[in-house]
Amino acid sequence: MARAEPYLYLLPALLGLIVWVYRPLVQTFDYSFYNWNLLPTTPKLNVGWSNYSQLLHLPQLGQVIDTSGFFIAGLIIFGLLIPLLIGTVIENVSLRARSFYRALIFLPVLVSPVVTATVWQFLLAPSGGFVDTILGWLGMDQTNWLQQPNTAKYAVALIGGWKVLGISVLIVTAGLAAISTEYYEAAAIDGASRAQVFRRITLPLLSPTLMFMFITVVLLSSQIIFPLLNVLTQGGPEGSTTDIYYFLYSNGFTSFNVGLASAAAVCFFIVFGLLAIACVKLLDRFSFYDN
Amino acid sequence: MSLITLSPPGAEASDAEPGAPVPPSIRRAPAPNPPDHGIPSWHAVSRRSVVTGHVVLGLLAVFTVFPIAWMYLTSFRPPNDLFSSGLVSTSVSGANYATAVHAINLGVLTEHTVIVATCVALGQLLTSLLAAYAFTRYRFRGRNVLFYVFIGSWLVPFQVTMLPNYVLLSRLGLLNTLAGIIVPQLSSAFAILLLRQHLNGFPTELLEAARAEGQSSWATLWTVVVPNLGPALAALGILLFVSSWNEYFWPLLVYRNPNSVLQLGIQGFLNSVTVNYGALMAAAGLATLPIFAIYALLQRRVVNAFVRSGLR
Repeated sequence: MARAEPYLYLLPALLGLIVWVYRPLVQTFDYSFYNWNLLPTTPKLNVGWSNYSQLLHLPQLGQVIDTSGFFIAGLIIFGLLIPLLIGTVIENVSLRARSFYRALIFLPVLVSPVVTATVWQFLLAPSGGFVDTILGWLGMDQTNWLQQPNTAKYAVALIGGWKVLGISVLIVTAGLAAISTEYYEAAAIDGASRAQVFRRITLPLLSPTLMFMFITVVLLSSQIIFPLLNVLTQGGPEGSTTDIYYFLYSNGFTSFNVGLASAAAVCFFIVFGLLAIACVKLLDRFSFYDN
Repeated sequence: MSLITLSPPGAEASDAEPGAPVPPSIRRAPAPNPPDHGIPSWHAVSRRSVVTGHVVLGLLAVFTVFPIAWMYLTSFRPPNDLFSSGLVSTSVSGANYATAVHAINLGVLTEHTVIVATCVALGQLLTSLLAAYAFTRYRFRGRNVLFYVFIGSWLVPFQVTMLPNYVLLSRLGLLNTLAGIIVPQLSSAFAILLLRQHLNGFPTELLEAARAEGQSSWATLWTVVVPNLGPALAALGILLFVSSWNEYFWPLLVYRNPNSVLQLGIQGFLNSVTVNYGALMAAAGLATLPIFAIYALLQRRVVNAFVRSGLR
């Protein structure tokens, strides 16, 4: 009995993951070899590898991958570069002011993706929306930001950035606060300049935090962006905001092309999995630890 | 370091929540006469850099807070002058709230959302507590493999598994039911990892003492571990409740009509033929209010839990 105990404690959580994560993962592999439209009454047709070859020859494949790359780059700016910049100036203000700003910067984390999309659609609304009114005062042209192929991508990246900026700033400043003061004191004694201190002490000691942020942004970007796309643009206009996961979603649930969607899911799962492993290896190699 | 580090490095070390006194271990500059502003003494902070700091942080705070403030300000404007009388209005009205409550059946949606968020938070807390307890208390065959099975699930994106999950939900007859949203979310690798971190720091003497007294592992869990894990469990519970309240993907998969939970109700309202922005802002504001209330009450705990969890 005692030997079974740990397994019994693990059972409920394990069962959930097996049923809702690992079973469907295997099934997605299986679906990728069939033609099926999600209806229980229609038979599944085994088509071998043809879903995969169809996927590789899709004309929009390149654009979908580009768009994903664009969103990742946008979120890296908001989730990594700006927080790093802010992390370097937050030390300048008093502790009390710091916690005041942090409390405000944190707020978007609590706002749901749907509410985020709703509020920003209102801010960006054509003729009379806040952004257009301000631009009008400045003598600039009014734009339907979310409905034009050349602006919709940027608008979505900005909204996604708004959602990740607050938490990223807090994570980066927490990482900065964890760096031991001894290093800075030693550097001050040696007469190091601020730039030197940043490059030689702050950056290397912060590298685990920065790599962590990099990995999560790369892996989670599509999941952060997805609700915004589904609420605001539905991947349009002209497919300009369709990224990898939105492509999967629309193929599965709008076109009911289960085989193709599953083949795409398998490919992207493998690519992102390899990417994640590569990132973790990078993290191991290039991170400098303060032991 | 391996995959195990799924919470941001440094997050554990820093319990420097806003407003909290900075623990001595990370307090900068043991200055002889402690500065009241906490500025590190290793570099002299000039007046100009203080101003730069306030300007940068102030701009950032405006960027993050403004859309939320705008949502609430708009919701109190009279419905008819939204786009007509410019950006500012002097008159205040509650009409948008009345419209919103009727338009999307707000009472029912709120009730559904409370049920889902409570069940998911408590359910995940329970399954994760049991699993984390197993990992820290026992050395058993397959321990490492099972641990990687849990972590690995973190790498499987929702979109990869959604089609088979949809098929299973429909076979179980759980489509368009609240149970369909709750059941699949009852276990989470993230919560297990976080609780395991806390349990690893748990004094083993307490467990040994309970074992020596002949207490069963089940009784030990509830009489020794849980009471001592209170703050951690509360923080995680809040985090799970908030995430579940805001959750979009599972409800979207399960429900094909907007009469489900708040998030889908708002989306349905937004995507209706003519958008009533005033009422929409009122609905969005109401749907966010409970979360802001929790934040106002338990600020430190909420921030700390979120910072530990990273971007999830």
